[in-house]
Amino acid sequence: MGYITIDGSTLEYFDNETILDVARRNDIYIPVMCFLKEITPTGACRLCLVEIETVGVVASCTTYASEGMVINTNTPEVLENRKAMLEFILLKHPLDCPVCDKGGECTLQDLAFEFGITEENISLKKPNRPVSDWEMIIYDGNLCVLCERCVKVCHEITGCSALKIDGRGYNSIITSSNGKNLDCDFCGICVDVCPVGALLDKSYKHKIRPWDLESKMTVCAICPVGCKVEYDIHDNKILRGKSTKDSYICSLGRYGYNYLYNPVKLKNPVVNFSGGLTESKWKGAMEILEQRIMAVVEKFGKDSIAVIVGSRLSNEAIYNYLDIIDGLGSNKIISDLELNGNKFFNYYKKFIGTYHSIGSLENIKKSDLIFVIGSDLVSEAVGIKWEIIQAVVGNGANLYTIGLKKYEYDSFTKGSLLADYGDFANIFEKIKNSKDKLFTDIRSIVEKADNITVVIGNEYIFSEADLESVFSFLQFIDYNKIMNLFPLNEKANFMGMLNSGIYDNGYSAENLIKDVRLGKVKCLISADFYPSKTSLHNNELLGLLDSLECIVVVDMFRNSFSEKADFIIPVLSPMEKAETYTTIDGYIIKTDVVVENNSLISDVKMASIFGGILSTNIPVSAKDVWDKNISIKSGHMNIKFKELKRVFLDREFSIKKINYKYKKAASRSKKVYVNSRHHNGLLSTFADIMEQDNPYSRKYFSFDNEILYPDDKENLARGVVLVPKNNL
Amino acid sequence: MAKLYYGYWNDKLIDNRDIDKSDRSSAPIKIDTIINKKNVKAFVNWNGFLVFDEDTDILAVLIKYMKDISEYGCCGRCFAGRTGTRVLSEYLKTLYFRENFEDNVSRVFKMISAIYNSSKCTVAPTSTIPLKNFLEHFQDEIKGMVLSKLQGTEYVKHLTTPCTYGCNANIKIPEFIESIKDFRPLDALSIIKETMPIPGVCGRVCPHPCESNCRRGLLEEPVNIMALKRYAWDYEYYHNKGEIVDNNVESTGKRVCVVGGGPSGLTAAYYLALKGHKVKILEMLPKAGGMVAVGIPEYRQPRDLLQAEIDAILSLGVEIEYNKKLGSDVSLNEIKENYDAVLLTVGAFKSRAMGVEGEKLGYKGVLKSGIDFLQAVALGKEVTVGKKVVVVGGGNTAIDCVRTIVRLGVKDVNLVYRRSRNEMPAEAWEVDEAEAEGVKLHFLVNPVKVIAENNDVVSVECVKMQLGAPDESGRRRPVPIPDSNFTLDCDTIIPAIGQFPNLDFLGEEDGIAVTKWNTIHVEEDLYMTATSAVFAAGDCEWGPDTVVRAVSAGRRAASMIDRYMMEGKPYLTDEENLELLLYKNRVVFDKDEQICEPATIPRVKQHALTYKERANSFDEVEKPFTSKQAYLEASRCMRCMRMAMLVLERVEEDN
Repeated sequence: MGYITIDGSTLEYFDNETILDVARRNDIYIPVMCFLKEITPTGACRLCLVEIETVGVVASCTTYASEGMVINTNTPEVLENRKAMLEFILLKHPLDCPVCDKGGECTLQDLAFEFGITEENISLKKPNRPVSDWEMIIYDGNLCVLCERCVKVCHEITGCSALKIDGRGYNSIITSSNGKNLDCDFCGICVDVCPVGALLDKSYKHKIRPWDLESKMTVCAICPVGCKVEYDIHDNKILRGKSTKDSYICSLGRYGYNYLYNPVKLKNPVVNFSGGLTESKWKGAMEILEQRIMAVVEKFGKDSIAVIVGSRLSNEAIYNYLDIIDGLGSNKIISDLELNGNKFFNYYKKFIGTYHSIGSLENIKKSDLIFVIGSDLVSEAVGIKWEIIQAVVGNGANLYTIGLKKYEYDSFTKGSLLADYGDFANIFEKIKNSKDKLFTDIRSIVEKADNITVVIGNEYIFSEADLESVFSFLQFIDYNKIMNLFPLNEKANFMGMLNSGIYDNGYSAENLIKDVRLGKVKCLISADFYPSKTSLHNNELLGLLDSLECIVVVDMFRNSFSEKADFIIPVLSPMEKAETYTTIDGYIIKTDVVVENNSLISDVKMASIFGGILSTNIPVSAKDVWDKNISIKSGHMNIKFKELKRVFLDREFSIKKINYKYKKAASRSKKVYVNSRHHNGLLSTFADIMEQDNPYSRKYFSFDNEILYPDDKENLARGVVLVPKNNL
Repeated sequence: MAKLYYGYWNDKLIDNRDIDKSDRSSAPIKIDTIINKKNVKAFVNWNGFLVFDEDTDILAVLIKYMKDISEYGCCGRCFAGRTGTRVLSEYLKTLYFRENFEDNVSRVFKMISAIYNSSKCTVAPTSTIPLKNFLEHFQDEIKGMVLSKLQGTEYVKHLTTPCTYGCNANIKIPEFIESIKDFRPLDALSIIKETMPIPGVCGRVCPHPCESNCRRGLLEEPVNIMALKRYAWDYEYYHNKGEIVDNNVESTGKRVCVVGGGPSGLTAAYYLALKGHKVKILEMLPKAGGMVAVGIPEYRQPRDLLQAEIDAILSLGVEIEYNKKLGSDVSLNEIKENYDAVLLTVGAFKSRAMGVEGEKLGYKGVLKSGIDFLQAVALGKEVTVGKKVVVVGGGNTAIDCVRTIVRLGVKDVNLVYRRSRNEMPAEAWEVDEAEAEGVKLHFLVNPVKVIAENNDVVSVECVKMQLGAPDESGRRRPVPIPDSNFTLDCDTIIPAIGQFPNLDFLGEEDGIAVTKWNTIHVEEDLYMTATSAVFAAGDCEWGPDTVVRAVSAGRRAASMIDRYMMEGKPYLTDEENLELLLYKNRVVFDKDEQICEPATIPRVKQHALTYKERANSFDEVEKPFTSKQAYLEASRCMRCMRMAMLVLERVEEDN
């Protein structure tokens, strides 16, 4: 703490702040190129030079503020040296602006212009470096200025550490850490932060100039982190996705939108008139739909209708479907979570008193101890992993993972424990009681910690025999110290689904299966639901479909389930409408219209059409659903849809004590279904498209169906087999 | 000793160009005229440049120097260093041409100034010093590039830093500190292990001479290099990341026997194994680790951590046999017959007698020596100390004894030393710690006679001393003050006044010379004794000294043994010669340097047990750095790297 003077103003500084930190905090401009606020300062570009009186010229990003320093940011000497730095770089930088994608949004161009450098005074040989093709990302060593931003974001934020600097001095170059391919999340943050055209998005290369693009902001609706994302549009077509100044996006946000351009995406309703599904016109399809549903109602009664809703639906869509069933005086509506056999959230509600998570994702950075329990974050919600790595690097947090495998960020953990045979409860017991050094260490760290984050995910939920056990572990750690608790699912709006009341409406997956089997349900409406063959209930349901009179599937793509339907109604994607979603940490976020699509309708509207058919009044627009039905609910603070941006929901907890006795489960080998790398459910597999005859045109990763078996390298827990589920 | 033709050194111009060769002044540093059978033509470093040979194209030398700086000296992590020096080295070529000469020179000076002011570390700025000196004073030496002058020229370069020079093991300190700053502690650990395989130990017990050579220390407190080194090792150990390394090198078929499994022997075994040689260690005690295992107490070096490091070395395929003493269990001849080379790293385990009356009369309470006492405690043997203990001596062993005895519960512990506190060879902070833990220090006191009753020691008669003229070590010789005798009550006396190697196993027929300090004589820098195939390193060669010096000797001896076995004789490479030249001339660290750098955050200190906690347990006193502490301390490093270059000319050999 103390005071320094910058350009005549006396400013306060805090412990461990650099001169640049103080200047930026006070809106004093100092040019930078290698600086990025989320990573440690490098001091590579030397463009942030300032003069400290009686000392000389220093780089402000790596010089700590010290009591009494008198700093001048614009002396002739400072400006001359900054210019010299940029000249050195430009002398060895190919003058490729006319053919470089970065032209128009390039920091090197901008600064050269700002410093008044307009021509090359000396002619030197330009470099001849290799170019690396890393599937979705291209690296051109000739354009690289070695600012190290990419290496640092990959190491300090994503925890993948897939890039490194190879070679020495002038021959330095960025390479992949393993020397072969990029073994990473392909989040593309490195492309976003590269100040020049060295790292480029391969699928975007040579498509368009940035000044021909229009930028639109929205939120990503694939996973429950709900990051803000910026899409660049030209002629109503999304050409690329980028991180925003508030959030870094992942591969799903960056490339996943390409499912919009998959030729198999539905444009018109598909109807099974007799003997086969054929594309039909809207008007005709809706007329027949009404007839068929009324026929079932007449013959079997209103009670014979059941609705399945998927967790990718927005809050408004879910509430509309709930409204319909309510209007029928029935409770036959169920979520995909229940049909997938996910029993965990029932226990969560029991012991925490709510479905809501504790804390928020931003707060993870303040933690001093983090447990990741049974969650391969990369395949569930990769944005959470980034917060965790930043807590480890920035706050010195101790990180323990307890999972079915060692994760890619293993070098950051204090311990990566494997739950052999999926017996997480056994690990919890050891942490509580074992005298082994590893576990006595964990106990003493738990004791000293006071800001703990816990994440519980898919691996735990689907392989642990005794789901209650984690709550005894949380109790052991002490709920008073748990500042953040996140029960995870991969689908964007699972938290909205849980809090809609659908879990507590008294109608379970078993009820539905029984009703279909007994002929009490004859008409099934499913919205954004895909029964993957990984769960018992889904398989049972699939076996009973023939007994139904009428199946209506509302979805964007055809799949093996919708082939059994009588009607497939196509709907808008989240990029084409404005609706709300609830993030994992309980924020209400709202998408914005990024591209216009007048030939499809939204889920909300489709629900209101069903309502019309069944004679209940269901709002037609998302705005009405929100304003009338959702905002009035407790915790939603009565905000109008129009004003809604990002709102933290109020919630109340009621922790219940558990009397738990550990029983060692039988060590049986287990199959656990997981997402293939870079993929989230079935939806992302549709982003894997290619343009004909275009070598740069691969838009997304193919689905990798390699099954993982335990090996002798001990990277996988014993007794578990990990099976990718995305096409099952 | 080379005669100087011309040069510029430490701001002094030396011009002997008009003077006859035989009358020229010598170079301002000690440098031979011939190195490895090659003529020394010129020398360039951060002090300036020196030209010895009249036929030297100094501009070509400086261009090569600058190019090597851009590719080798510079780490590449700043614009000025990486690209600036490259641009400069390419642009310098224009100075060969008369066209636009003045403009070009002016541009070069501008580039020099930009690089000097704006770089991230000192490599690039110091590299501009000889160039600037040359252009300011000797432009007339630019005569046009003549290719014949460059034929047969070899350029030898070496990158160093003051702290690397100060470290006996020459660890690449700024490099590993940079890795810590990048949150890559495991990378830092591999950098350290290039020159030191036991960083966990040295990060705990080293007297850190590196820190005395730290330029940050010229401004404020030096960088806490030892704690950072310890952090890198601790990270791997406490984060459960240790991997047993598979040594994939092809076997050379050569076998080496290392006698003595202390820090020197273990280090030599490590590097020899990495080169593919088969190594067997013979250790006289039941445990490996030498003085670290049985001389340094547990609260300074926890035993389980030491064992982890020893196991890592053994996992490379090194064999070890315990309880095997050279001389009594096996002879040197037997070993010579069965191995291609032998390395003696037997340490210094024999202790000096005090030379006082009553010492050898077998009184109960007079212990044999400090190191025997520490060894017994370390090996878990029974030790009896009384209630009032006197330890005689002023080195680390004496301090280790008193602090150990405090932890055994004894309340009345005394240290008696014949010189003053300032002259104590023990580390100053260790003395401070001992005092804070309750040990009573008696300076300028020497024991004279042991007094016993019924064969039990009851007191020791001492005399007060004063400091007289300096002796051969430079320290003032203590002289007794007449009639100042007094007695100190005690029931236990432990002499800890120095060790020397036990060379009883050597006979005349072995042909190995022994120095007057009772250490093994070796050829300087080559570690080979008069008997080829027998090498010596560590305390038994240099005399009792620090762990880090033993480690350094072990590594260098391993190189020499490797060269002897694979090429027929040990030798120093050109670069090693350059390195020794720099170190012996002490040009790497200038304690009077006027540094102009901004102030930084205060030195980060490790959390430590309170004095009360320390005195009651053998637990480690200082706790590991947290990652936050490590980052902050690492950011204080100024990265003082610098490069020197020797220009050599191959002498035409007559066939």
